[in-house]
Amino acid sequence: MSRPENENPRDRSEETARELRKHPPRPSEALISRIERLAERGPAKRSHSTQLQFSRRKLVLALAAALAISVAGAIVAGELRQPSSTVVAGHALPRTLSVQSGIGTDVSQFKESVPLASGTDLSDATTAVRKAAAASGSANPGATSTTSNSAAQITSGKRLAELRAVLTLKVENSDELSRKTAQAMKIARSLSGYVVSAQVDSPSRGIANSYLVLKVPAARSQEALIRISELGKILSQQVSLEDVKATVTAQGKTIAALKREIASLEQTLSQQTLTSQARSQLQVKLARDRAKLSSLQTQRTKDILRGRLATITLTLTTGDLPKLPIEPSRIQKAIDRAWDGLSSEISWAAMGLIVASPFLLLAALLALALRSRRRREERRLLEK
Amino acid sequence: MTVAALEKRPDFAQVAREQLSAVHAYVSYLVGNRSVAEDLTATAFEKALRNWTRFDPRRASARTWLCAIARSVALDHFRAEDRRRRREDAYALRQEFEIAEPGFGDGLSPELESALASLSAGEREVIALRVLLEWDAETVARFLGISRSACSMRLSRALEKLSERVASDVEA
Repeated sequence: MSRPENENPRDRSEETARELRKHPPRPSEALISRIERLAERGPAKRSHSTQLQFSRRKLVLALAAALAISVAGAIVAGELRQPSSTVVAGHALPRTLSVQSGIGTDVSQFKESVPLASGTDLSDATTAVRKAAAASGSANPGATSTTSNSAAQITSGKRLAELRAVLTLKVENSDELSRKTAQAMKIARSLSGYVVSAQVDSPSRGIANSYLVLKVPAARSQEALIRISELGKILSQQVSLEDVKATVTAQGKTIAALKREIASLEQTLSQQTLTSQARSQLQVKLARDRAKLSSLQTQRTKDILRGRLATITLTLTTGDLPKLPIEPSRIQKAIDRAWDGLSSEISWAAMGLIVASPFLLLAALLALALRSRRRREERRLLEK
Repeated sequence: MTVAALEKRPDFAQVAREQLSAVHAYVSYLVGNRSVAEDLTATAFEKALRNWTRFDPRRASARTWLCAIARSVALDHFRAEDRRRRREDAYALRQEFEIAEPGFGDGLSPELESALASLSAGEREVIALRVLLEWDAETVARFLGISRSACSMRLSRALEKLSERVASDVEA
């Protein structure tokens, strides 16, 4: 290979390259036959499972499948978590009977499962509940069009029971509000009741409200409720009845026993044969029993009063109650439960990711370090 | 891999026949030793045969795939040689880690053979890929894991060095 002097280095390189291309290394006959023999053997047959290779499409499919399984799992978990419906049996009636009605509220709601003592007029109560439900639960802000007759009528008959009613009525304007508030107080007084508290909130603009707490004799509570509910359109009402007769009877028995005990102690103390120590002990016991008796008598009086006087909490307003969500359908509930399940799965997955992230980060750093080390080593080997 | 892709995969025997020269040329330049190159080429094809089901024609050509395997085999060989040399250093049995039987091509001038032998494996590799196998700069850069400009620079320097050494040998 002869080269002219002062040749351009680029030309020289090209000529060298041409020279190299002209004489490439050729595999020996031995190598050719070796490869021929190898090729004749053919690639090893592999089972289908070992032929499965990583691919993007498979990754996407796997992710989609995982998502589908998660959603299905969430739906199943949601269905399993569905609360069982409450059964109200006639023979297991609650001690406290509560009626709620109005915009978006449940038609009726029973609290506690302590059986109600006999004597309470439950048939009347449940009938009243149903009437109220039918009237106010029939349409949504249907409550605004509810007639005054739809006020819940719960009575305890002749039995001592505490009645609490919470009413929200709509009136047309602020003037009407003041007038109706005064009328409600007048009604309470006319029924031998009284006003516990009254508050009127009537701004120059916006919604005006008045809040009243009224006490009326239990015997006249139905009349009071009916007359008060006529003052406006019922937005919501909640009436609850709690039996106090059993409590009062038990208190009476305890009081009688205490009285007997006190009489006995007084008799013993009147004897002259007692030692001073025994006397002082008996005097302490007597003082304690008297205090207990006094406390019980006060409590009993209060409980009797609770039973004799019904409490009516009245709210008069010129606005509407905020719209409560409508009872969702079965499908919506299922979707909600599935979403809850999915959310919990996501939160678990996120938690797992958070826990695993330091290790993943370490693994990634290790992989990077190994890769970099391999590259460096390759470079070093190829530089020789 | 899909069934269609599997069906598209060519026959190994055919590929081996078609690509043997190219792979052998590449390995020869990389290791710079005829007999070692033959052994490593055979090893590379054996490895390729074992992993033939993994070959996906959509991702790379058969030649690129085979050269990648051959490169990995050659690097393993370099590592083994490196370890051997260190062991020999430790026992004071140092032998020159040199190209015992240079053989880059039949018909090459002794000056060119000698100049090629004096280049590093990395320099010879880029010459083999760009000059002998006639791959474009983009493919070679991707294959070597370097940038395109680095690849072009490496080739140009290698060829320049080669030419200079040939020229100096001729003058000498």
